Amino acid sequence: MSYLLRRLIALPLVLWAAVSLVFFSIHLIPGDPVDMVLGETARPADREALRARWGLDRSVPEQYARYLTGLVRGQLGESYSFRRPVSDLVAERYPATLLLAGSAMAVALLLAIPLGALAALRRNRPIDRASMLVALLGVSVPNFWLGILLMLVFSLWLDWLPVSGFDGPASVVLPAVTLGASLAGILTRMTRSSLLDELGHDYVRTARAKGLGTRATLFKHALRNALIPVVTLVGLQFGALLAGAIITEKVFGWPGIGALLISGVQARDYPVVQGCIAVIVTSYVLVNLVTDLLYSAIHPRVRLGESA
Amino acid sequence: MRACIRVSLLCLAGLASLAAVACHGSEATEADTIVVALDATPQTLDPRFAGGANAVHVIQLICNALYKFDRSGTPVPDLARAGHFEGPRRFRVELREDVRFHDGTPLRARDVEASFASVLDPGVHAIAAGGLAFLERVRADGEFEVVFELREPFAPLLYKLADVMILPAGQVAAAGKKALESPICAGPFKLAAFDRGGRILLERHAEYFGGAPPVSRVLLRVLPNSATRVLELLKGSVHLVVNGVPPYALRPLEEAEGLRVLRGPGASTTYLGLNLEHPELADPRVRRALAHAIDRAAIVDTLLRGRASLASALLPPGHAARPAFGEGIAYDPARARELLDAAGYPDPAGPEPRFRISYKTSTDRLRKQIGEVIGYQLGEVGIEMETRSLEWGTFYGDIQRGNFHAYTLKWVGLTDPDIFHYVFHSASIPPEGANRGRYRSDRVDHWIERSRGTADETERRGLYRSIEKTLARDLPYVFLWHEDDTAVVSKRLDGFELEPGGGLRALARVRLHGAGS
Repeated sequence: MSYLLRRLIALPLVLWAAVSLVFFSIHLIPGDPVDMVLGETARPADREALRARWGLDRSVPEQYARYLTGLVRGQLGESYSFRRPVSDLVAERYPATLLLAGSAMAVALLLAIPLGALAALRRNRPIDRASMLVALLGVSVPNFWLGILLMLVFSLWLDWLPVSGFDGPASVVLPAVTLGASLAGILTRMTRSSLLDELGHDYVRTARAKGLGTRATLFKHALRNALIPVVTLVGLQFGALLAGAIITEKVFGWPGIGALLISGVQARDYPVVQGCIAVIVTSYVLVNLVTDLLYSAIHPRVRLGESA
Repeated sequence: MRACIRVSLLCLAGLASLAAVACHGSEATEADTIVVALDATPQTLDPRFAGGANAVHVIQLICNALYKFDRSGTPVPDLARAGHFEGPRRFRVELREDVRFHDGTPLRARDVEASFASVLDPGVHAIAAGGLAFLERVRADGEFEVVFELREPFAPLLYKLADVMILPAGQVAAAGKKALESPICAGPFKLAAFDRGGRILLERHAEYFGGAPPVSRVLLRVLPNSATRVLELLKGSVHLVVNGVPPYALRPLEEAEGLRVLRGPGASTTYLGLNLEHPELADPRVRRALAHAIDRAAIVDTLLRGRASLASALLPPGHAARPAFGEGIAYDPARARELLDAAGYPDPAGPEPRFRISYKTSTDRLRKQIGEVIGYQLGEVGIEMETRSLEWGTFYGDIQRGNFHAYTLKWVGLTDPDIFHYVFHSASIPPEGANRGRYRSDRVDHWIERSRGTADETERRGLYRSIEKTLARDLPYVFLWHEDDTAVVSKRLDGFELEPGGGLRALARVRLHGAGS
């Protein structure tokens, strides 16, 4: 419990560090939000009035203090370009990004664990080499290219799935495979190497010597232990999935937070960028916390917060 | 392992619930629905705040102004029945009496008064406000007449009136300074859904004064990736893309069954902007040398696949106020070298250039390629040009601050000839306008001001011609080309016509074959 408490206390600190970094970096890059919104036809008085309304006429430390105060109260501010509360914009779009990232994770796990286990069990045989080739392709192929290839094959030629958009479960398949392919490749290789390591341990030999079958040895003992580093990687890669989702969302016209973040950066819409980053960072930290908690579910000998 | 399975099942259940929540509200496309792909999400559909091309095109399907533009860029009445000047500073508009808003309420003069009052309210920060500084007051005079009182005579008034969409007075009052979530207007379609994530659903306005549109619905889908738009067109799940397919992808689409590609003169001008405060570029001979050194025809033929006409002036071909100038400055590298020599920049022996400049452009692939080709062509006459591709916000910030030597951009939707004031008047140097190259000419300033003050159409056209001639001599811009508008249209869509600038208003007249089958 103390471990969980420590992690929960660390969450606001991590969030503070991330939003502060984003706040100062976005204020450093060139481009004026007022120009982006009003264009060049605006009268100087209108320009100044809008700057004052958004608090951009104040010093950067003052703006920072106001931003942090708002954040503590749960207010993400109002978007300059959308002219709506950022919390509403994020709430509209974040479920789509979570769905995409979650589906991609599911695709990656469903492909990687069986493929990695099979590769380990059939080490140096053709199926092992084929699995590693698939894993290598998954990691190497850029996801924007893979996405277009999948659209061409499964939507245009075979007419099985929609090309793009967000219209029910069928529309999730191609974006999820596109986004999950890279992670599937990494996890396949990790599962294979981790399982090979476990299969070489004494306890596996003992189990086999005591007459335990291959399947029971694999599933009840070796795979369970082999999955611990895989779970760690899954937690760490969640952030990569959210980052990769920005490109996948663009390719598939997916209405997620990635597209919102890009439009926020382009329009110098500070509240949108800061709000999106705050939500992404919070998700990332929480997922890592859940990953740590899963350790004990997978392997009861691992006790959180205790040294070995 | 059982725990692992339990966790997996929980995750799958979570995903299913998330899918249910996330997909809530998405609708399958119905048969009598035209699907149009846009390349970016309109951030708002409140006409007071919408600025991007996509937002403007969607709003034109929902809302109307007092005036609109015909194909030659001339303002013609829309919600107005007629209008006339009652002296140099007063303009009276008579409204149509058969107009009803989407909620069924009839259009009255007080709606016009309220719409303009809201746009002019300094606390609202409407985008069109900057262009309406000449307005002293707008007031309703009876139920169907509106009087515009001007601070000073302002001839391009009708062009500016076309920028302000008319909303019901009650809606404007209720919204105040906040953006309207779901604007009610009087256009051919009404907004049924706008999820901002990428889908805008419009429904037919049965009481539209111009006649109810033949199709029931228009679904606008945001597809930022051009390859995705092409695939959707090929699959038949998108019926129309206007100016959203790159030139290299048009040829295969022309050959595709079920699609046709329309092409027409656009309302845009692509130009090379030059910083006149740069030591070398301040010399008009150097600017002319640059213009002679760029082989525009080769760029149009190769990178743009021939889908543009060479530019010689700011206003595009077909515009009523455009003078006839031919194709501008010819490609003549020998003449360019002569001019550079004469300007005091001889070609030094060896690899050293005559001088170096930098060129800024956006991250758009085509624009970067154009920059590379121009850089190569300038290199042939001894000018070294470094191409810098920048993210849009940085690029825009730099050119506004004058932090550039040369850049290319495109003016789109060129209808209002008063753009000369915005772009070339010496009072329009940023942040006061878009005279980014810091061009100063007393004669041009004088003609621009006179063109604003005279109601004589013939005199105004003469002034615009003089302005264009002087610009062609001074070259604050090297006018490059006018890109054609292109539309890829499903053969099921009957009656779609391109309008200059890539607007979508023709959707109010099209029919969709096979609907309901």
